[in-house]
Amino acid sequence: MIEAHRAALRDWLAARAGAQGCVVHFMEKLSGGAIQENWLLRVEMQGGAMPGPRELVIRTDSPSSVVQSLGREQEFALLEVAHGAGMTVPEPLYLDSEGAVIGKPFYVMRRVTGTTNPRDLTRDTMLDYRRDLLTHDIGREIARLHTVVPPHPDLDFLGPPPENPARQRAESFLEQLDGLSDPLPVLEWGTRWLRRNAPESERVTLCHGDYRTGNIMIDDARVTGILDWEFASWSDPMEDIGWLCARCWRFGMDAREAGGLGPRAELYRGYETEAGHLLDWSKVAYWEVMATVRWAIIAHYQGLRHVSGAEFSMELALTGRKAAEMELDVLTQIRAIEEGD
Amino acid sequence: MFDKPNRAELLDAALRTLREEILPDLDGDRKYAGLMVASAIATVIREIESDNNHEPVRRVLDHFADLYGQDNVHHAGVDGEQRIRALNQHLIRDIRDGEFDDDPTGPVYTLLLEQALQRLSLSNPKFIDASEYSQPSSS
Repeated sequence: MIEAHRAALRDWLAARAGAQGCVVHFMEKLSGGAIQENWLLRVEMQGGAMPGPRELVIRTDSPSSVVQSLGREQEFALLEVAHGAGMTVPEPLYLDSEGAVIGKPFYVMRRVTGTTNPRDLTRDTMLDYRRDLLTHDIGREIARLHTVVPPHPDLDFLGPPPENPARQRAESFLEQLDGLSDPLPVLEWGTRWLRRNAPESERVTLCHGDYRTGNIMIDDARVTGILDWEFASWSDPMEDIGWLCARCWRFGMDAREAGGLGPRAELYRGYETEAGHLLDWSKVAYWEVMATVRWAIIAHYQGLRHVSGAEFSMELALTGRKAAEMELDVLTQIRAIEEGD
Repeated sequence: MFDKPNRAELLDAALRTLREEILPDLDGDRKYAGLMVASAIATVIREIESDNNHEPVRRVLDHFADLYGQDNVHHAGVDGEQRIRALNQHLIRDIRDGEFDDDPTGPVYTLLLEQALQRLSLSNPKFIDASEYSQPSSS
């Protein structure tokens, strides 16, 4: 679809970069990304802000999108803020919020190298020499993002910060559960528990909202870019930590509690190194339950996207069935917390 | 009504062929797609084989009876599946209204666990023994 707009894209890129000309040598759709599409572009600019050969990535919507997802314009603003906070992200370059160039809104960023593939990253023994340091770095990265606090002039679209992020998140599940035709008593029960046990938040900061293995680009055991910003919000920083560490995002490598990549203690140490002080991590268990319920609800919706015909996908179809795994985890996690009390 | 081999036997043949003759030659994204197809077929085979096993439905209804009484379970529908669905609709309202707040890990937990385990015994039995997550996890 984007290929049909190649000439318009070329001229737009040249104009934005202030170049005399631009040649698009190559474009290819990148794999992954159930909600958005990413296209790799190899271009050569004559003069302007970035002369010579460049590798760029264009990000735009996929055929069907999911609830609670931010638009491209907002994602671009988040990337700029994260970049400004010192986080390792693909540098955001240009935005077309009108959809005038390729028929839908998109933005351009610098390409970052490496892989986000969770199956490879959690199992590749070539990473083992640096797993502790990698996990430490992943802690440092998210700590940098969590220095951004509301209000922020470029992030008005995120709305006012919630008074109690945990309660607000759990209450948003009720509406989502009502939108599913089948009764899901385990998730209803988990949501009830989350509402009744919602902790007060010491801080509310900018949170990534999908900070996990699969959205962290890694090259030679080093973080090269934090991707996929469409679920960012003002929240409790522990939500990002719980999401990364929840068992359902360890891709089967349970013993490496930080996303199947490395030890939890290193993640915490990296975070504290960046923050400059020690933190109370005792609420992470609560936020891991939140993560598991949230992912289970998303999984049910992903299955429906396939069943409804909105998007054919073997992966989406199986993800709908995968929700049962998260549901057993919800039961196990909450019982462990209740019995530990 | 159907010729031999029956539905499950045909799918079983398809699954074995996929695993033994096709999957070994695949790699990367195509291998992943192949594994997903195998997983889907295996789930359907388990579901077909479970069609005549009424024990799981009976166990769930027994747990519902502990919670709501035998009479209410009986009047919830004309067959087991329909009763479970109607009772679950009732259950989610009660959970939301706080009916089980005093004892969230009591009898309601036993019922929820039974239903979760039964669904997993069809979609991914390995998860029950080893808590092993299935393919795929969204990348």
